[in-house]
Amino acid sequence: MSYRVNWYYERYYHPLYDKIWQVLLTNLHHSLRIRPLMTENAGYHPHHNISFGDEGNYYQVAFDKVRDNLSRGLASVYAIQSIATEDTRAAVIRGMEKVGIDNVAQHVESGMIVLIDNNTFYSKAGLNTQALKNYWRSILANMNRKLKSSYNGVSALFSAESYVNRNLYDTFMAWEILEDRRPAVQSELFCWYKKQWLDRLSFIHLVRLFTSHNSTVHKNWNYKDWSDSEIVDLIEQGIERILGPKPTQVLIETVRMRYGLSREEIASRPEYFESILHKMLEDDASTILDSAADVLKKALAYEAIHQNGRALPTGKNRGRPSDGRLG
Amino acid sequence: MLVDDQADTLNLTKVGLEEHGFIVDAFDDPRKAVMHFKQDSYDRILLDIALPRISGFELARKIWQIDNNAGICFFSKVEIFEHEARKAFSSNSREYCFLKKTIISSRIVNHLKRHLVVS
Repeated sequence: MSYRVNWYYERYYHPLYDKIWQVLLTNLHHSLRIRPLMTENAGYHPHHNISFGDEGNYYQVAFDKVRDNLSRGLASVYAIQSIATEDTRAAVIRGMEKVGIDNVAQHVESGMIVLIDNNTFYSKAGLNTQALKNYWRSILANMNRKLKSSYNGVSALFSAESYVNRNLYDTFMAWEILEDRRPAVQSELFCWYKKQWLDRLSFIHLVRLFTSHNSTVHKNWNYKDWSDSEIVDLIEQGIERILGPKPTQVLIETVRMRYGLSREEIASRPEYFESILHKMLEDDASTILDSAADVLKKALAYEAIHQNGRALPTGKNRGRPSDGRLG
Repeated sequence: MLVDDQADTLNLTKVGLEEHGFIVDAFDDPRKAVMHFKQDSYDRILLDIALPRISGFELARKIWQIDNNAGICFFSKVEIFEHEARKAFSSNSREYCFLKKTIISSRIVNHLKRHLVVS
């Protein structure tokens, strides 16, 4: 099925399709958008989280996360690296051993660690977002069958590298937006991307990354949840760098008065906000949006320090997620 | 003095320049601007070229009739106006300059500092 979709897509592709797709996604995104409240003191964040790490410690952070998951009885899906050959697979296992995970091979055998090649999502599902979702569901179902009741949930590390490298940002966004929010087992999806990719994302993509995830993840596993108002705070910071504080407030108020887009709505309708700025300010709009994008990128980075971020409890006292809610 | 018929950009530019310490009289109607203008009343004058009823160039001539030394900065979206203005004012020694239209006040201030000397 997915092969057939790919074949059609490649054969009949037209750039306009991406535009149409983007509009459809935006509307779908609005209707699907769910922002469940996080449960205080839960052992982990059973939701959809994102961060952008430095190339230097990118894999190290991911391995730490797997070790951390195991200590809390969480099975890990590791899908951020190529394991296409025996050598690359062995390198991943060595990396995990280096951070102190004992008997990695045994964990892989038991199903507590599931290694998936980072290209698999693209090769299996291509641009078909439903196929992407189905594949993710099948992974969870397999783990559930294999592990039965011997695990507390699943924490999955994903990277959309295969999409980003092909400049398929809209499909990448579709994956982010259509990620299954109610899978069969408790799960955390941790989208772990390389910081260098941030520069390829537009203002609209960046805002959508905030709104399509429950939390951004930062150094020492601090999780930061973002309200729409806080996302707009970031956008305003970027605009202020160019215009200054008072003109920024005047601009936001003008957008509300003239175009009916309130301050809070900017987070959920970034494409409309962008089009208003282009209409109002023409060439200046790009300068202002670039500055806002710059602040958003910095806030998404793993190294970013945010006030009101909540640290993940450490040590083995971390309990099973207390709310029993599915992701 | 700031003259721009587009109320949104007029307001944004005014507020931005005020943040840089300028006292700004803003007009969206060029006729009101002329009525309000008096000799030596402004250090710098910013005129949008594409104004309704009376163009920025005509407005500049009226201002210079009142104050021969008024320094005027024309701003416009398109460069063709600049070409026209250079032809129109080539024979006189008025102090004027051109700026691509922007609401980014730091750009305006830097441009004014470079091109118009405050008397």
